[in-house]
Parts: sequence; structure tokens; C-alpha cells
Amino acid sequence: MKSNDISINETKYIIESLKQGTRLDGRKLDEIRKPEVVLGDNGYVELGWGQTKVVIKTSSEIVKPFEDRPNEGLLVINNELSPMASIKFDERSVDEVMINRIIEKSIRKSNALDLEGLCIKTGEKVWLIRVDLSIINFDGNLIDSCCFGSIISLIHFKLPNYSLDTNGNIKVYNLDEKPPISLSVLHIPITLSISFFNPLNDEENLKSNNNYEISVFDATMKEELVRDSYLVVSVNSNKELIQLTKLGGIPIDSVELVNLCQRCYAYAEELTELIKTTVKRKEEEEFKRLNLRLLKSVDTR
Amino acid sequence: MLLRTSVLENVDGSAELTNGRTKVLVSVSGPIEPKIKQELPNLASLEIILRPSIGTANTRENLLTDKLRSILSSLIIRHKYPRQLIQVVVQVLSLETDAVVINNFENTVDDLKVFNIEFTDIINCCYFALLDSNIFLYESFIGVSQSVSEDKSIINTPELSDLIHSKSHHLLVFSIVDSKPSKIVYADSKGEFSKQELFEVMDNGFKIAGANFTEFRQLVEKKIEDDFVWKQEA
Repeated sequence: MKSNDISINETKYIIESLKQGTRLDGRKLDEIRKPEVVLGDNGYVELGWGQTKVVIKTSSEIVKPFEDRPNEGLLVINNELSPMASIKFDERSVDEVMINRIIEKSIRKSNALDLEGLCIKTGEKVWLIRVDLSIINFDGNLIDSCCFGSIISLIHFKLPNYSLDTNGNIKVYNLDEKPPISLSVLHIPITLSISFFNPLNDEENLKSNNNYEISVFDATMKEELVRDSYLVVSVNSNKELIQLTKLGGIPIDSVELVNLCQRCYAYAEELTELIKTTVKRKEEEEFKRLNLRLLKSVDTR
Repeated sequence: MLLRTSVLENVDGSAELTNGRTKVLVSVSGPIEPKIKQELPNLASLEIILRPSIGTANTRENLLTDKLRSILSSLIIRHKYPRQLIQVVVQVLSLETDAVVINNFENTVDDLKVFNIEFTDIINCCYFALLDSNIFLYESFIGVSQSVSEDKSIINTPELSDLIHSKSHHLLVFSIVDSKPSKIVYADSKGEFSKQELFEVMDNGFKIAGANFTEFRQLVEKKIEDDFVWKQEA
């Protein structure tokens, strides 16, 4: 059986090495793991964030809109932790609620997806976009990886084309009948979490003016077990701050907070660029494949 | 068919099976400490979690979970692990029916899902995940899927289009003894068929199971070779 506990020795070792500015995996304190993105079929994304692995799948469905918002489509982000990722997720945990709430805040409530564009017929039929996250392996930082994965999946997803006839009946076309439509993603929120460690005692943290607290980007599972507090920031490449969450734990100097946000902007640009190039490359591949198919059909005629 | 084993870090055994558009990932943890209500005095208890590729698990997944439990509990040597828990998590990553565009939104989605198109892949993936986790098994096993079309011909490992135009769909799980299929561990049929047809399907299933298992055997041999780290120095 593989355990998720951490020994006192290991805890001390992690904190001591952080004090000296090194981490177990050799990263710098403010360095994130480089995400590996594999795009599959429509809206299917396999994301590897270090050893944390998430599979994201976006799908669509036609539903009746809510009565108070008759001309808006729906976006549902569905995430459940299963013991596949780690034995500690056996029961519904606080982590799960946290992840869901932060994804909601950073993607749905920030209007990253234009919901009005998903309306087919006011008050009767709208598209429901569903993002299903399956976390298959856990090695820390689920929040960043889930948010990053969800937004790539939304960009990668294409809605099937449809037409309305005079009787109001909808005909949905298969992907090869009529080219599908991309979702209108208005901006790309990038969520980053920063863990804080207090190497000294509580008194030092609260009373002194020295900032000995250590801040670490993109914590691994072991670092998450040791940390004293954490901060989650969502920004986009337009240098806009979308949300900021810090729930208790040790207090942090406010100047430090601004510095951390500045660092996040740099990462947001980097990651946004990564998303754009990956999706573009995949689209070019698809285009080539479809183009070949067209040529083939001409050939047989 | 594409297979990868030991893909996950935090569990004792895992396997990922890709078959056409269907992709299934199974993890096995065990023997682990059970919750008190799960504990059995003389046997290992079996917890099975099945999660669909889209949405949350509902009655369909519950039914599949129950079927899977009946298959696995007869094949795992449970008395080897008394008062312990063996946890099997099945995650369907993608499904052939996911990509199908449906025009009549009322029932068709559910109609398509009535076919247990991914169930054979789940069973076969469980086999590799259990092997990977080194859990004791009585026998090897293999699942085969067949359908009988309108003209009464049997189609081996039918695809979705075959199933839509079929009269009946049959799923058989064979236990394997000495690399040959021996007993039927589980049989599940849907649709309309005669006794004669069912026997034909079983005979035919016996043959495909034998043929498919030689392929499985090669995969297992390769896996053992790859996992064996103490290689003799040249």
C-alpha cells in the first residue's frame, strides 16, 4: 500500500531545503512545472502537470435555459476526485470543494465563455457546455492544473453546426457534414497557486517586520502536506486580476502579495502562449487531415 | 488495441486500454485498510467505482458496477486477504458514443448508451490492472463482444454502427486455463434471439476468446519482460 503521510524528518528536510532556496525536484522557488498538453478528439485534453495528471473532456448538449436567463447558455464544470488519483481522496474532501469553487470563480464567473452566444432559441433551447475533469494521478497543485486544463479544453472544443427550420426544429450536423464552430472564449484566465511556509515560530510571523515567510509556486504533493497557508491568484495576459483567494493560515506581507501577482502575470503570458500554439498546431493537423479526405473524395468521383 | 500498464503512481496497479475511440483506465489499490462497514471477517471486500467519460455516475454506471463486481468477485482469490479491501476504480476516458451527433434529443442518447459498448474493454482492462497490482487470481479471464445482425450472421467485436443495426448483442467472459478458454464466467445478452443462436454465439465466442487471448498473452509477456529490472549483464 502506498501511503500519503509525511514523516517529521521529511517535513524538516523540506523546510530546511526551502530555507536554502532549493526544492526536492530541483526547481527554483518561483518556478512552475512545465505542463505537457496532449490534445485528442474534439475537446479531449490530457494534461500532465509534473506527475499530476488530469484528463479533461468538454461536451455539449441542447437543454432548456433557466427561466430568469432565457437567452444564456449554460456552462457546467464537473469535477470529482476519485481514489484513483490518491487513496486520500476516498471521501468527499475539502480539496474537492475548493477546486470546484476556484474553477467556478476563475472561468465561469469571470465570463471567460460568452454564454449568450450559446443561445439557439430564446427561452426554449440553448447549448449546455459541460467540462468533465478526471484527475487520474495526484502530485500536488490540482487547482492550477484543473483550471489550465478546463480552459484549453474549452478552446479546443468545437460545437457542432446546426440549422433551424421554419417550424423551429433544430438539425444538428455531424462534424464532417458541416464544419463545427469554435466557442467564443473572451479571455484566457490562468490560475496559479502559491504556498507559504513559515520556517520560524508564530510569534516571529505575527510580530516582527522581517518577512521570513517563504513563498513557493506550484507545490508538489509533499510540499502541500507541509505548507502553512496558500494563495490562489487568477490573472489573464491582459494584466487583469480575476480572483484572489487566501483562506486563513499565516498572514503575509501585503507588498509581497503584489510582487507575487506581478510574477503571476509573467507566467500567465507564458502559459497563454503555450495554449495558443498547442491549439493552433492541432488545428493545422486537423486541417491537413480533413483536406486530404476532401482530395480523396474528389479523386474517387 | 493499445495497452499501457503501470501508468499511475499512487495506486498499486493500473492499466490503460485504447480500442478505437474507446479509452478506459483502471486502477487497483489493495489490499488496503477497509472502512469498518466494508470489512468482512474471512474475505477481502471489493469496492468498485465506475466513472463515465461525461457527467456523473448514474443508474447505468451502477448497473455496470454490479455486473463487474459479480465477475471480479468470482475471479479474485478473496480469502487470501481477510479483513482487507481491494479497490478497483474504472475511469472511462472516452467513448465511441460521445462523438455521435444526435438529432432527436429526446431518447436517442440513452438508446445508444443501452449498448454496453465499453464493457468488454472495461473487463479486459481490469484483467491487466489486476495483473499489474499482483492481486491473486484464480484464473485469467477475457471478455468478448459479439452481435447478431438482421441476416443472422455473427459479428465479432462489433462497432457502434454494427450494434445499431443488430438484432441482439452478447457479451461473454471466459476464464482461461492453460492458455485456452475453459468456462463461461459471465454471459449477458440483449435483444431478441433464439436458443440456437445463443449456442452459436457461445461456440463462436469460445473461438474468438482463444484467439484474442494469444494476443493478451504476448502483451503480458512483454509487460513482465519490461518490469523485470534485474537483468543479467551482458
